[in-house]
Amino acid sequence: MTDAPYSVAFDRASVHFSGSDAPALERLSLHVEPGELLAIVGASGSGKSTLLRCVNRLVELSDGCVAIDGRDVRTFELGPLRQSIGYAIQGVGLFAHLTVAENLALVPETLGWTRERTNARIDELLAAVRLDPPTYRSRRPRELSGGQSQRVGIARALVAHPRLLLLDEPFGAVDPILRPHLQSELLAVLREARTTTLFVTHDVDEALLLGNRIAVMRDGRLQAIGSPRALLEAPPDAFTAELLCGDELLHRYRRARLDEREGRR
Amino acid sequence: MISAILAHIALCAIAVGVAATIAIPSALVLAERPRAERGVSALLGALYTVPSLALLAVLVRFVGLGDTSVEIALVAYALYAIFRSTVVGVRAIPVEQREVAAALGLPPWSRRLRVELPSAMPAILSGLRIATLGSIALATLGGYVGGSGLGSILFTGFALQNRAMLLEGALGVVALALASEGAFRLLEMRRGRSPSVGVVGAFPKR
Ligand SMILES: Nc1ncnc2c1ncn2[C@@H]1O[C@H](COP(=O)(O)OP(=O)(O)OP(=O)(O)O)[C@@H](O)[C@H]1O
Ligand SMILES: [Mg+2]
Repeated sequence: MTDAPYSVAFDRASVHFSGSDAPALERLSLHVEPGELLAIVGASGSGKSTLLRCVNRLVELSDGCVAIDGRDVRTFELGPLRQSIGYAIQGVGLFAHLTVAENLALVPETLGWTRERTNARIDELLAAVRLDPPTYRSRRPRELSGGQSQRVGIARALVAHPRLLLLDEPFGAVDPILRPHLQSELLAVLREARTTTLFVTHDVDEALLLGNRIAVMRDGRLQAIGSPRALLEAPPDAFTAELLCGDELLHRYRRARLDEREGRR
Repeated sequence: MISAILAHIALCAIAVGVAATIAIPSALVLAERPRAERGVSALLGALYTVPSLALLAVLVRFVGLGDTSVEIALVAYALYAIFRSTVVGVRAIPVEQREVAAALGLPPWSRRLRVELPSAMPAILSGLRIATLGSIALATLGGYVGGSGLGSILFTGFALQNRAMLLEGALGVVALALASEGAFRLLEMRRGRSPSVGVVGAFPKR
């Protein structure tokens, strides 16, 4: 729990999948500070998921390097590395044959936690993602809605106090009414957990709300990166402007919301 | 008669149990190593196609008359179905589920036992079902080499030209086969009804 959050550095990282000519990631360089929440946006197929998956080595780089705390991820022992990184895969990925609690307990079991500690942590996280623990602990994934499953997926990523979180569109199936609640809950959990987070989303407002910085991906390249304010006030290129600012009205609205968010702090 | 039925059940249960203990763990490991798996499958397949009487004859030469020879033959034949069904079951696990198991960083045996084994269970059950049925049929041949079980009644009946004994043995085997089928049906139905089966359903794409 006292483990410090990881820093993550991409250094000219490239990924070429066999069978496709265009690289999924092309000479991408990027540094994420410990404790930072980096929101990643971009069109479908622009390499957002691939970027996350290079960090926990579900995808191996064709070229370049990804480092955690300054150390090449390829030099870590794979099991412990992955146990220290929370990952919520795009599209949930709960194990159907396990209950909600059993899904959450997999990594704590591996780490040798006591049953009491595991159970307490599970209840804490279920409550944080707004699932009543007594009701949902023993449910099977089949008995959950898509949005509920996603929330269990987020809880599972958080359960073992990860030093780095990789969240791939974690709120994709959550309804717009519950979404803001979960976003603020997530912020609270993250603030308390003091973890570094890479957060992929299609929702620009979500990125503006949650991110310390926003990375804009386009065709496997990093198109732009900066604080929400910097990118909104002065988008460095037309693509970023169109994606983040939208039309005149939307731009004004987003800047006003950003003012409000920063005023609140 | 009762003692022959019990002996028959024991022969088959031990054979399937031993074969499963060997085949399932090796299949879980070899499912990740396609080349080694192909080799083992070919070997077990070759063993499976050896005519049973020939195999028993060889075994009797080295092990002697009696149940031990029968038991070894039964295990040899049961291995193939159980091994293959486990490999197929593991390979059929959806790629997202494999990735999640990998991303959690579970140690290999924890991943195999907690994730792969339960996910492959429907396929493994069908392999066990076939292996059990095969054993029940094959174990009758044990009567030929001095084994116990219903085969002893059958072969004695055959030698004495005693139709009642023949009928008794044959009906016993059929009854056992039906009982085994019924038991496996029940088992599969129970799994089918519980929401724990159905790997695909847990991965709604967004
Ligand atoms: N395992 C793979 N094999 C081959 N190509 C792949 C593989 N995974 C991703 N790709 C390709 O790499 C590119 C980037 O994919 P990626 O999943 O990173 O996109 P994304 O930005 O996450 O998209 P989305 O918003 O739709 O989730 C796409 O063109 C995709 O087709
Ligand atoms: Mg994606």
